Amino acid sequence: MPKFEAGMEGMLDMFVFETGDLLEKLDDILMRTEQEETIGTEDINEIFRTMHTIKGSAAMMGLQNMSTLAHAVEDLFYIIRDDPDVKYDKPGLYELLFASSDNLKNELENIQDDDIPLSDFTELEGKIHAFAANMKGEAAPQQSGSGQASGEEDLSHLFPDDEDESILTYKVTYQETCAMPSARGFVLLRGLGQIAEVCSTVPVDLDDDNADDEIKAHGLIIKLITDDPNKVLEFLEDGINVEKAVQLHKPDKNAQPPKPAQQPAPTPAQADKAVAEAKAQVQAQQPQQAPKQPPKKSGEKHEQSIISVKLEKLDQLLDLVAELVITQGAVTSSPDLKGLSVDLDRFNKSARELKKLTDELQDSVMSIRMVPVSTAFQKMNRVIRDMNQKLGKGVTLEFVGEETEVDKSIVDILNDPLMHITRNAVDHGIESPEERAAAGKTEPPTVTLSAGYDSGEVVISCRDNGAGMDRAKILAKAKKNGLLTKPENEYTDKEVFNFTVAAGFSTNEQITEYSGRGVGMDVVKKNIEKVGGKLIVDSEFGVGSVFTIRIPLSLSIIDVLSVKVGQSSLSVPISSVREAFSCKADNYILDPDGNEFIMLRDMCLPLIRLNKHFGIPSDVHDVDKGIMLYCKEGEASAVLFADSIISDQQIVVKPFSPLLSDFPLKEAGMSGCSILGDGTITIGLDVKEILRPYVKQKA
Amino acid sequence: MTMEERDSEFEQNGGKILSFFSDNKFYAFLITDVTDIIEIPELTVIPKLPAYIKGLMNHRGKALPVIDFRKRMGFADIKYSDRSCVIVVEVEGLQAGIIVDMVSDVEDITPQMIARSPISGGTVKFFISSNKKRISLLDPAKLVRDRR
Repeated sequence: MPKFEAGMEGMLDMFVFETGDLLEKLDDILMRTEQEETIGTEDINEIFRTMHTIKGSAAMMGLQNMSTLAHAVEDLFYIIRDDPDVKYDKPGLYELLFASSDNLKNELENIQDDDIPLSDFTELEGKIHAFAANMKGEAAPQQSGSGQASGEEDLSHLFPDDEDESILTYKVTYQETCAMPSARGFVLLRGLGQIAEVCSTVPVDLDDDNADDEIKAHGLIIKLITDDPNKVLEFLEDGINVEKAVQLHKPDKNAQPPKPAQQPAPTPAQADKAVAEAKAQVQAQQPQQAPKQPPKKSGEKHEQSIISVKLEKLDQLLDLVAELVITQGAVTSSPDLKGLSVDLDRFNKSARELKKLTDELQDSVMSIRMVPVSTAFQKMNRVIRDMNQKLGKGVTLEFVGEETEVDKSIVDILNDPLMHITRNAVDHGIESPEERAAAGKTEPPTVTLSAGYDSGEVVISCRDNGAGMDRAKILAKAKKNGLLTKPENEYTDKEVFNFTVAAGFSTNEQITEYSGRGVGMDVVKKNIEKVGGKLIVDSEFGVGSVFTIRIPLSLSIIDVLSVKVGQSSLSVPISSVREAFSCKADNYILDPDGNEFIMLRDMCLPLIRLNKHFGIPSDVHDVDKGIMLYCKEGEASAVLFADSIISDQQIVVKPFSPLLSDFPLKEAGMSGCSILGDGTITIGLDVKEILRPYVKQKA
Repeated sequence: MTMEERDSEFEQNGGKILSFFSDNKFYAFLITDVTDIIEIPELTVIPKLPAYIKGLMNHRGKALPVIDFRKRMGFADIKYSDRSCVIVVEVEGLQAGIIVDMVSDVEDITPQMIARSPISGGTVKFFISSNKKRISLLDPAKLVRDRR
């Protein structure tokens, strides 16, 4: 059997996304309220609502296990909400809540994989029920067991006298375990639409709060017109959780005089409304709409102004805008215009206007993808909480600059590394309370996550005020693992600390649940490097350690200065170019070791000939014939020598085809290529990589 | 369909191949691996690549690597003629161009003509005997991906 209701595949994405979002919010509330004396009414309502929604949408998807688990938690909060003075064991409650939230999240991840069976939550549910029973001071947790007493139900009220003969009536009863029969009802009605015309249902409004109870007690009555009654019956019987489905027949009027019906027969108007509503529900294709409970009172919903869009759509838009910007440049500076002898004043004016607009469009599209890093940081609260519980280190987590906005894709990349680094900081970095006391440390153990920008990069760092790293210990371990490549005393501190992120390295003697296996950090490092970022480790023994992640801002369109070297066009990002100048021969220095330098004002800068660096044949060798680019990246600076300048332009640098990923293009200083407006290809340079050998000369 | 499944299907049922000529021998790709045959376009040389990768070409707005078949196979170089052309192949959704001496034909191959190479994972997947000539059917992934 497929995991979820047939025909619901299309909604799966939405379901996973929305439920994930809800669980995320739930975690936030739980984290916030855990330390407080009592949970505020507002929060209780919010948790209740969250669980109610999850229960509903899971039921809609046919995910019975998730639905019942959410239902169990909802029940808990139903009790708490109804009786604010009820006594309960708060830590115990939170254990259950966190466990439920984690289980639901796991299930969300597994849901798309057909090989993983649906998880069984019965044990956890049992605990929750027991907890609820305890809270109420009752013994039996089950309180459902609706009155299934009267076998002889009065059906006459279902058949108004003036009903058309062709309308058939069916009754569907659901299994007692079915959490949301009304939601299931919607699905049934939707499916029925293909083989029959549904006229009305009882209860009339499946969206009503009482609909569930009513269906549980009396079953769901569906009136419809169809050509194939057997097929309808078959379809109804096949529905998920359907216990039985039967066709009802009009009772003989004379034999059983109608009693005053408790429930008014649906008037045609009502019936129409119900059908229309059901249809609207189905068309809207929103898994959550069915069971959504009207918000209790905290009316201010500002979420309305936010819509969620698939990331790939946004990427597509970004790509298009990027192409548009390039094409705009190609049109307005087309070489064809130069040959024209006519006056281009008006054209130029419009061209400037167009450029302004495309620039603005580009900026605003870029900003759509920007999200604050706090979304990634917040998740660490949970990590710290769990670890504090287990390890008893009482670590506080602080944020600095969490409002820093970065591209969505960067936040996604950050999640995993942050998790690893934060865990490491708490597990390896922060000492046990006894050790801290012995070292005379009075300040509370703290892990600080900070974010900010620095020269076109996002800088995320994780600082702890723990034990710091012991250089000697790391060196010894590195030696033991055979990682040393030169004499011990030649290693700088930075190099030594970087061993800690090498594969198969862990100085923690005991392997704990959280860290110590030495796998992880090297994977983290690789993943960060894959997106062009860096992981830097620094530490001071006894004071603490800092792990810094630097990732380039993903700005796909960059301003470049394109230069010609031999037959190739190379593009240097303008952000790295300080100055472009032509050099007189007497400012050129060749030292006895064969090193070449350029004197620029009072600076002596190393000269990098791009033709030599890349091995491109070129005719320009004399320094006064070509063009010099004074480039600076961080601490490194040098002068790049090219044949001539082509132009400054905006390009979209795309990575080289993955088929070339085996070759050391990136290491040689090429970040990618770009197709220009005229169809030619230019190579984007990574100045930082080219200047790498010159970093240390300053130190 | 995995590559493996596709190969065994070809072995059992035959199919169409695009044969080409290089260094006096016939080679071929499965027609399903080929997306275009084009004239040799302007190539942008990329430094630091092995000599058999001639550079990048702009093919429908994408910068695709172009491989010289002779150089890749270690044959003697010849000057490109007007019969030389680029076969664009697709490997796991990624495209690459391969410069060959000349394209020969699209041929229907029946199972009787096919002999699987005794070595699995080689550059040549099948040997095909057709009209008294021998055609080596190549694995484009091997040709494009593998470094040599």
